[in-house]
Amino acid sequence: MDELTVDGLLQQPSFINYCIRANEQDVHFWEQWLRQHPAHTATFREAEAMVKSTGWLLIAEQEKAGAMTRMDDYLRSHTAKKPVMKPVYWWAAVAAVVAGLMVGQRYLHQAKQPSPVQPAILAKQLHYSAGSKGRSGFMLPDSTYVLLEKNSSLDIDSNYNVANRHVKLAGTGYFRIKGKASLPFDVQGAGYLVTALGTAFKMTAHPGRVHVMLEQGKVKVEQETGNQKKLLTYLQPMQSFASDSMNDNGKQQVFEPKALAAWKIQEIIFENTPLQEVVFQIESCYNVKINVEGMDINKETFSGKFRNDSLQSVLDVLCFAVNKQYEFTDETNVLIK
Amino acid sequence: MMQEDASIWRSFCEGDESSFRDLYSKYYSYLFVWGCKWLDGEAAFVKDSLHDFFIYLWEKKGNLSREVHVSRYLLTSFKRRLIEQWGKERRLTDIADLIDVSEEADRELELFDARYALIQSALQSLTPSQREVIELRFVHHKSLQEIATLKKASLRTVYNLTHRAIAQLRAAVGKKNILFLW
Repeated sequence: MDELTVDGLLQQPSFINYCIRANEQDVHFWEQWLRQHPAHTATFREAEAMVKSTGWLLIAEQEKAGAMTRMDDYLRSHTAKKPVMKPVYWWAAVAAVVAGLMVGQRYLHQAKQPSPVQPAILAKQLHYSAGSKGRSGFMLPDSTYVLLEKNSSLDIDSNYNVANRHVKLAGTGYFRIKGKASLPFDVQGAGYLVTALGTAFKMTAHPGRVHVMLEQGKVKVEQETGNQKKLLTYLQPMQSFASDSMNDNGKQQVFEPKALAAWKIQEIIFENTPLQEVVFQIESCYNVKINVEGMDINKETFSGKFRNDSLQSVLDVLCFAVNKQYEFTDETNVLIK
Repeated sequence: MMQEDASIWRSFCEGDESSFRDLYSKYYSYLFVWGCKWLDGEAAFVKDSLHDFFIYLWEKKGNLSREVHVSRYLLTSFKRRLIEQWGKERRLTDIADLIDVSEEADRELELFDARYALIQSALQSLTPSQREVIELRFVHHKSLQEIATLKKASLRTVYNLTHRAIAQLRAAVGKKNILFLW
């Protein structure tokens, strides 16, 4: 082999075997060959690097979607600062709580990996609905959280999170939008259009009437007739808007934070829900920030039913099920570890 | 391209989450391969370190220099952190030698960049079935015989397919002979 090239080496299956350590004989042969031809070290190493790097790039491309999801989870759950610890002794109350609560099935499935949702390949229109049995909480592809009341449904466009963030609501839903300034989030229902500007709100849309309660941020409420949009109002936090007919200009009111909080915790149902969503749902319903340490929240699921329960009760049951403890690090921050 | 990097970098430094995601997405595979090169294929460790590295960047965004050569900065600082963590994990004492910041290391960056571009375009040129055999061979370290059994195909078929796939890779590599860089 006088003129050794990278190309020449790659042509030989035994050299590939050497690079990927697939055949002991070949490994031995090429190691010896290199010792005998030190002048070719550079070429040899380059060819080896090509083969190995190709393999690594293939691995990287397989890992990438999962890595992006993991980063999004991090960004979602770690925006709060970590204040001083203040332990709460959860176990003192847990026995009574577990006995007294309306807890349905409560079990864990190890290592159930939720497949990462890739907005770009979401090709069909999605329909979510909550039947007469209970509410349904879930996350949309952009991580926006939705809590759908019984007998309500939500349709999302096939281009959701790519070209738009447009959803259609029939019934009642609570939305906590994941900020993405470039794509406004809007809910259409019963001839009204509510556009969120970085926000959490509850909306009810039944034919002929609409009710919006804004918890955080800002929303714009418009009336739609054909292609015409008529601006009705902008809401500030803790303001609500109700309209009973399409001819009515509606009524704006101020509501007590408790009113919405009470509605959110009326009923919370988890059914083999990935822990990551459970955490996000509890955060949304109780307006707290939860940090989880020492476990992979993508890998575990949780099932349970809560009705008008306090945050402490919910955390007691959840932590009992996942064999962890929780602490309130301050009024609105919880650490589970 | 570099202009684009610079502006993504600046808005990330100012706290823009979507620029940060763009940066991660854009450099993920590049840094992954770079890390594997330094740890000779410890892919699981590289994967975790890369995640940690970007979290570190996100947390330090306010203190990062706005004017950097983005790819160069990412390569050198990821390498430094990766090797430090690896040293800690393995209780190695002499890791300083590995974290080389000399001119030699500069050359290494250029060489890596050129090699990565070649491999990336070579992989893109493969058909799905060619890519699959390359994956089985290069990632899962299967022999030709094992691939034949797995795919319920004759050894001859697998041999031909692999041969064509590697020829395709070689063609892409051959177009720009990387050895001129040495």
